[in-house]
Amino acid sequence: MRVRGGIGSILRQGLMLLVCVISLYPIWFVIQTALKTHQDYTLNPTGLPTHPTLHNITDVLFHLPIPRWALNSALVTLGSVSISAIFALFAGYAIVFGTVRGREFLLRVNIGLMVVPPVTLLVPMFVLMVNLGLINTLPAVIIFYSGLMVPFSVFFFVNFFRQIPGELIEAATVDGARHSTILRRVVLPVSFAAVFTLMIVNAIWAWTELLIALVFLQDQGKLTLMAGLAQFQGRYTINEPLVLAATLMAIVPVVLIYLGGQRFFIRGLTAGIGK
Amino acid sequence: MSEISIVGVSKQFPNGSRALDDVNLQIEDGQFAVLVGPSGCGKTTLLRIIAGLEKATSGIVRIGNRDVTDLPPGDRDVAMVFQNYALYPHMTVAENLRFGLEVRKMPRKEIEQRMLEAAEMLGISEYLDRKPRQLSGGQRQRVAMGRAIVRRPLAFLMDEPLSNLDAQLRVSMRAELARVHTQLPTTTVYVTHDQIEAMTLGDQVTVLRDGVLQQSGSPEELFEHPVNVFVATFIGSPSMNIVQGSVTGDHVHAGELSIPLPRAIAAGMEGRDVIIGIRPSDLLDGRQADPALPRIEVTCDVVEYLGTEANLLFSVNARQIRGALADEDQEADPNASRARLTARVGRASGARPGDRLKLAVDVERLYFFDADTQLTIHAPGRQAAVLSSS
Repeated sequence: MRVRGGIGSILRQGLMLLVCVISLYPIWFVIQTALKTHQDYTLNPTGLPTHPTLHNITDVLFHLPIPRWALNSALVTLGSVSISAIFALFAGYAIVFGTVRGREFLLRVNIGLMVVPPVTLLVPMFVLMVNLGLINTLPAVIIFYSGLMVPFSVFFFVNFFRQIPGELIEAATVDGARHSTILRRVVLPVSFAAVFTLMIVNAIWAWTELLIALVFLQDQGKLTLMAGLAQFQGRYTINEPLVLAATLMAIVPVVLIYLGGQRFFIRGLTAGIGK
Repeated sequence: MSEISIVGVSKQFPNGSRALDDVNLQIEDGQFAVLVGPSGCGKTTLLRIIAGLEKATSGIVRIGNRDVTDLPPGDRDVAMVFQNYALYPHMTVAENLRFGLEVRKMPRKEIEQRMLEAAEMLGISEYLDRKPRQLSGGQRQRVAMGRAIVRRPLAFLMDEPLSNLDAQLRVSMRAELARVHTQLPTTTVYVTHDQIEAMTLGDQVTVLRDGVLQQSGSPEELFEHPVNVFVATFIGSPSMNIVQGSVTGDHVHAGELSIPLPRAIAAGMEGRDVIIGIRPSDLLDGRQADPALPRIEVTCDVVEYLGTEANLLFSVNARQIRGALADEDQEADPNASRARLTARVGRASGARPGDRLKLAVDVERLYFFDADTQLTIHAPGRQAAVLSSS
């Protein structure tokens, strides 16, 4: 490690190290406990596993409904993330580059929607889903998630699109491109990193969402991973290593998504448009 | 045929500011027309109205005998070069050039052929696979030009295309533009605030001020026969010297100065308050000039040495009139009792700051403007009456 600037720098580095340890410890705890036998855990909850085992993980993967829940979570996440992104893309484009009257008003309403707490929507949405016959189905959750994601997504795209030089759109207009072409061939490619970033943020939220999933999904076979884990915890509360092995399985996809997307930087992508 | 007619075009922005006021302009087929004026004069707005990116509040725009007033930009068959080039950053140079043809569903083969042709013409063939961010400013400028050229439009519209380049590159790109226009004589409307660019490139130069068309004509016409003080001071570098004065008898008086005029010039202006204008190149070094010319004695404040020539800056005891560039680079108080003038003399004058020297005034080259309307009363070689009817 390169240390410059004496004591102050060492203190700073030390502090950061401490913060790292504190924030990473739970993950470490999950990993090491998942590798322990139940007996091992009872004797020494915080120590290293004395007889490391993959038993918990194979149990989780092959003898419990976790894969089914993970699939449900994946469907819900993919569905809601795609729907909201497409919707927000159109809305953001129309607000920034469109010519429709009342665009500013739409944007304001949209921003207003961002501050509505999801909890207040729970009961009305429940009633609506019951009436639509969608209760206890994945589409109910997909629709609810999409709706919650849209306001921030629109806001995010509007802010990003406003940084795209207007001349770029005008150049395409003069070249003879219609809105659909401009969105597909100019705005979307230029905004790729923004779209990707937003989808990741939304995906992580959808993957880890618990409340709505718990309320709207009741059948064992329809639960999302988070809802499943919540119930699982209650049922297997005596066997912590098993619970944590399941938790580990739930964390892995999120970490993978995040690491995969890390290399996309929003800045720098629009470089080279102008001089 | 692709002449452009602008008939009675006005533009008022929603906030009430008036960008253009009843502009009428005719640009002939194949001409290189330049719109020039200080910033905020409406030249870019006019260009954007021709392109269709902006809607005129009233008036008609015709391109090639077709009324395009209500057509969207894509249907006007014009190509635009933007000030910051507006290249598509995610596309390669080749893709940038192809884009305008692809959206028009042109056959693949022809697109390729036109693309290569334009690249060849602008010397960017070796950069076809690069992205815009990997190009220098000059290369980007060429790609922007190329994107317009491949389209083979009725007209090119250019919005200060050289303003992002450094001075040297600007001069060479200017020559390049002129060459492209000779090779490809497409009607071009070119916006700039730089009068040198306007004079060197334009077949027809149109001067705008506060949304009002001042004068439109060849560079020579604008330089020799400006219609008013604004055009007179805007065109030409250094700017024309302008002072307030009056004509009595056969002398013109401006503050401490009194200059005898040829009878033919003085005749029409006897007893009038006028604005007197003289180009810096018509104030001559007194030691070499024709001895018959009247002399003024001045103290040199600043010498701008330019190599073969030098600009001598001095002031005289007379009232200065605010010229076209006053807002930008003269902090002149309109009521100041001393007017700052410039003379352009040969380097042989050897003048230094503080020197007392005599300048000859080429009286035949004096301009006279009405003191109230600032319209030209007399310009060298032609009478105002002739001017107004031409």
